[in-house]
Amino acid sequence: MAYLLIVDDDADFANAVATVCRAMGHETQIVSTPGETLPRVSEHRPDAVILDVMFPEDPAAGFQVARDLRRHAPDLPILMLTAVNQQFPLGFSHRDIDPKWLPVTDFVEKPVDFALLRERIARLLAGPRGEAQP
Amino acid sequence: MNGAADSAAPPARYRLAPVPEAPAGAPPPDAASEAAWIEPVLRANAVWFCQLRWLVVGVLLVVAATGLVPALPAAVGLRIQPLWPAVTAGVLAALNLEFMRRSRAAGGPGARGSIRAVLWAQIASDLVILTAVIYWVGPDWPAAPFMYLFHIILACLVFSPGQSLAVLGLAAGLYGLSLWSVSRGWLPASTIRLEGTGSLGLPTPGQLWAGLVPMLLVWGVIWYLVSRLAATLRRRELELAETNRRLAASSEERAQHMLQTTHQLKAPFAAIHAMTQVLLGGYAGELPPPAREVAGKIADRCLALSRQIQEMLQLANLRSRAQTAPPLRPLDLAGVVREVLGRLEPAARQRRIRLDAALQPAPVRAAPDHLTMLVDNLVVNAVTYSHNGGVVEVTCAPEPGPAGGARLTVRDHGIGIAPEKLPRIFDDYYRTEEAVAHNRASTGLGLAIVRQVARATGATLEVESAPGRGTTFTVIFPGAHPAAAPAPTPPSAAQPQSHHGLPADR
Repeated sequence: MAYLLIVDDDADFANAVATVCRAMGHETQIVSTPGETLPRVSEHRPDAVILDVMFPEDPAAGFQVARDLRRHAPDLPILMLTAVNQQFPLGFSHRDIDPKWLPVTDFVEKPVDFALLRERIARLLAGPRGEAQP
Repeated sequence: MNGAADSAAPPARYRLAPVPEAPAGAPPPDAASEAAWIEPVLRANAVWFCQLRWLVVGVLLVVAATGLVPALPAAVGLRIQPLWPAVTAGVLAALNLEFMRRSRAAGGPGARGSIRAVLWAQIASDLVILTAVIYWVGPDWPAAPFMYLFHIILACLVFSPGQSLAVLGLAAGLYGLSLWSVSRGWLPASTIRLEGTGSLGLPTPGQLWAGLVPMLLVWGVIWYLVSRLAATLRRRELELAETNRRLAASSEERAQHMLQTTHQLKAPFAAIHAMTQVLLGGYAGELPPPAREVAGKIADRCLALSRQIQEMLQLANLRSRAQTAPPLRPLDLAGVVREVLGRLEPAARQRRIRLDAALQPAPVRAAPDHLTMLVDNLVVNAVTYSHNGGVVEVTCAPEPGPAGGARLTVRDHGIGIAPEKLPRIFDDYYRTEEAVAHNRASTGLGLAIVRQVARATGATLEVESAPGRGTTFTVIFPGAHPAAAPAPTPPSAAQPQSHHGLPADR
């Protein structure tokens, strides 16, 4: 059993993801603003973070959260979920989605197929830092 | 808000002043934008003048050379001392070198005023040298007043009417001064005419004025006409440039707005889709079969709508980024196709459609994401319009010949497209009736995306189709030198199938 932190401002979406995670036997916490993330991680370090990109006050806040998390906990696996196509980062700089630069472990596009989500979460928790297998 | 500290703090206030809307018509361009726009033009003109001046230097040198053989000018009644034109050519050449250097340097930052200064120095020194030449040639030389017209007209073209009038005044002053000096005996009279062919009587002041006033009138009329025309043209050009800038800005703004809107639409569907999956997955308890069916339909429609929004997003993004497209990189087309086929294979298998691939390494230059999108949409299209149990054949190969390039074909044996409908299939949202009857869910944007990517990549699209027998899309990627890209193969007359080529730059 693992402890997963879900960071998403859409409560319905976050709850659905949490339901799936709990069904997989994991413990979950939902955080709805980017600012709460780091304190919550410091308080109780999760085994992985599931992170949204766009938040109401900043359409690229998820990227900043990911960078902050990486600085704070370099080994923490991060799965980024976004309604913005990973390859068409509207409004984000190319720097933001450069896979070499963007400090997330994996990317899944919304709407998320839950079978795929389960697989990605399992992989995230399995490997060293949950690196995606080639 | 309800804490003690909050109630003690003064309420924050923010005031939004009404922003004055720009008038609908093009506003009169302000001086700063005109200056910014005009500087490069002035600089180009300054360099151009320098190039023209070399011609004058050449003419003076030819005249000097003619003077070395006195028999030549004497044949047309002239007597030329070679020293005068040679020295003048030397001075002009030296000045021109300096002007050339300064004109080129004036484009640098912070040198805004200096390009005008260089132009003025050029014109003033030209007028002085021209006056000296005219003095030497002789005051009764009939072409003399016309020689100043070059500078007056050029000044009208590059300067404001007031400034070109000042050039006219300078020219008149210099010409008048030289005539006056000779008539008063301050300067010895000079002529290149052989004595005896014309009488070199010094004009009286009265005769001088009688000659100068009509000349000034002609100069004035020419100045008025040319400067007026030039000012009109300049204003029109400036207005056009401004209109063009506004159009580009508004189109970018619209595309950005659309992208934001589509994202805002997509997020709720992601939530709805997630919740239907909670229902379908039994995470909220087992559903009775009719309820499962309804939840499944909700999930399907959600996905379809989400895909449509995704494609709108992609297309708008491709179009809004057309100006700052990601750089083209050398890629192996076969690798991209293999990746796409691997991803789409499970969906094709559900409809018992086989994906046959014959892939040779084929180097192309493209933006990786865009190329993936092009291949993805073509294969999805072929699978969508195949019959269940059908075959989709995908091939890629390098183009033969030194120009290089690559060719991708995606062939299906599905419903096909009627010939008269082929030219429209790349239009946004266009779907043939047969396509809608075969598959209600697709969006009509996939081929528009294909066209947009092909355009950005410089690739040519071709489609061949026969209703009921299937469709073949061919993408011809240019080689390293886009100019040498292979032309689309013309349709053979005997071919029973319809054929439609779509050049990428249509």
